[in-house]
Amino acid sequence: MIRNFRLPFPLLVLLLSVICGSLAAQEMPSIIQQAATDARADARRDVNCLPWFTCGLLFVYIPVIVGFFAVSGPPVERLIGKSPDYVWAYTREYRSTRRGLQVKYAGAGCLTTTTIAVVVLIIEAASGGCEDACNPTCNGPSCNDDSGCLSSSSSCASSSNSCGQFGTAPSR
Amino acid sequence: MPRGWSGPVSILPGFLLLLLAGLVFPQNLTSLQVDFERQTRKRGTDETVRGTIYYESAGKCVAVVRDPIDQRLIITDTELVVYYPVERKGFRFHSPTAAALPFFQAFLWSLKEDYGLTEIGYALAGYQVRGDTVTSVWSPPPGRSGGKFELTYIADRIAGAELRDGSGAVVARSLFRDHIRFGNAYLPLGITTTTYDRSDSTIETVAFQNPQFNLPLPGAILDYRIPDDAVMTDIAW
Repeated sequence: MIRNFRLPFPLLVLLLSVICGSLAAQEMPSIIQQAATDARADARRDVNCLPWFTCGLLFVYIPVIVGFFAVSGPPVERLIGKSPDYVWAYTREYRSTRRGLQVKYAGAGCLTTTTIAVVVLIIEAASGGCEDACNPTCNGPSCNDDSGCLSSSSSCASSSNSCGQFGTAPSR
Repeated sequence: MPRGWSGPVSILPGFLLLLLAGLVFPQNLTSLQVDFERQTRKRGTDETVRGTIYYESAGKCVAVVRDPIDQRLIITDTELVVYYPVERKGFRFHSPTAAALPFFQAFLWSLKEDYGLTEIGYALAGYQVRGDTVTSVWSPPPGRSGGKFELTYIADRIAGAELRDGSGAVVARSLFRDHIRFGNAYLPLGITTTTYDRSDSTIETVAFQNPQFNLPLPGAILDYRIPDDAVMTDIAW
């Protein structure tokens, strides 16, 4: 019975086209996947983190904007001999990865500067608060006595190290 | 500078005569047609591309790839067109700067004195002469990241080039072989370049064949028009 079994010709054609179609459909994602993998690896190799981080440190948010918009394409030699699907997927993924890395590195620099600035501001504010606390003692009309100021400064200095600098004699 | 190396101040008489004897006045190149075979080993996979490059010194370069795919790369000053005649589709990359095929540039730079390094801002930092071998070290332009470039010429033929990073580690190394004479210069028909990376190195071997200098290039290539019904995708580069 099996020996005599024959597929009708139209059914055979249909079956073959389904198989070929599914094989082609499987190949397409593999090319795109390969292109994306290559693009990510190449972009990671091409983007140098140090200049972007340094620029982020120095110019704060400007390199982040530049890093987002100024994204160069992949070198030509990486596209030579590649299929259109590969070129399209590679270019898109390369630019996207590169943009992400540039923004990330510049952002890290920017964040570092911002953090440092905030810490400095907090310290300044704390020092300023102490100065305000110290100075009224010295600024009043009864503050002609150095010892009073110094004593208040010393007590201030004891409460905060950074405050010691304000414990100088008042100008007369 | 290593012992036995001379500084740039005292170079003029001997060094220039030795290094640039045949390179100072190379014959002018107006056009070039050359077949190429490029093999690349990257991340454990091998890839071979074959085709022909048509170069015009006026600024146009066309690479016709035949294997593994029918592809044309048309490079002009502001645009790179990658076109697939069979699929009738392609990409148009717009760029403010000219694109270039590095493996072909490496071939062309051999025509220039000092490998064209002076043109891109490198300065001679030292040299060493041993018999017919001249090794020179070049410093990058001020303010540019990257390290020194080392060139080796043997009997006026470029034999090796090495690019180092700021810490002195080799980033890329090229070896040149099978030189042919063009005017007073020698062009390498074989170039092997190894690019070192922390994760994986890339090895590229390029073999050039049948170079034809200063002959009229086929109009079908230079004046090639992409069909109007071709699907082109524009990409800002």
